Amino acid sequence: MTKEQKIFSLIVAGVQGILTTNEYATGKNYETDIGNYYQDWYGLVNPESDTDVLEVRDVSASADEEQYPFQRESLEVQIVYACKRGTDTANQLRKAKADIYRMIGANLDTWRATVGGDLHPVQMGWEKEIKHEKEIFGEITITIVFEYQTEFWLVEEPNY
Amino acid sequence: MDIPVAEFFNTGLEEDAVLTTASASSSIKVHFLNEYESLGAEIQFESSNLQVYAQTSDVENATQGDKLSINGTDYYILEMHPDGTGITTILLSEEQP
Repeated sequence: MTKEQKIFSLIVAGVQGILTTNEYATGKNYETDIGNYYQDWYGLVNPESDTDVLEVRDVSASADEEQYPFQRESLEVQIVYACKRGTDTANQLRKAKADIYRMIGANLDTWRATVGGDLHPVQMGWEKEIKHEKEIFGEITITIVFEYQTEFWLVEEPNY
Repeated sequence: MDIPVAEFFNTGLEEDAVLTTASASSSIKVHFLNEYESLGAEIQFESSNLQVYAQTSDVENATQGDKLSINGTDYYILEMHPDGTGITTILLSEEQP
């Protein structure tokens, strides 16, 4: 696996583990079960009967070749959660955001041990939207930009 | 030739509805306007737009949040748009504001 593949799969496993039965720290459990709603990012329109959807999207990536013979790569990942939970929608989004941050904080050392110590989340942002239409709909997008180092040109670098 | 608005609500295709405002309940006729649109930004859900047409004279005392019961289902008024010809388009929600 490349580092890009590893990072993405670790994040997917991380969000799937956001369940109230799981601890993010000793004696502290997640507040939501949003991990139950994970689905691959297909770009499909979800059925009206769905109430919750969680996706992880690797929306962009780039490489900086200035450090030859190595290159720094950056990978922008979005964790997107949407729900229709009536008057509890806003409260659920706040809890979901807190759980996603907890998951990242709890797993970062493990991710570095797996991908490499050069893995750094260099930027993090989020945005939230709540709309009251036929139903109350809410969505939160948490964006993380990861940087890591690879050997120049080597797609199948043995240490991967 | 102008068609009286009342006749538009007496075609046999309209739905019976009960409008409940803060002061009274009344039986009115509405036409459902079914328009599909997806809901959401990054993640989208299928969604039919809940809108009805009503005679403006039947709903002139209604306000945002009032209940409109149609075929046993309770909806709540989100927005009202009178068109100036005697017909009001009402946007509904299944969630109480």
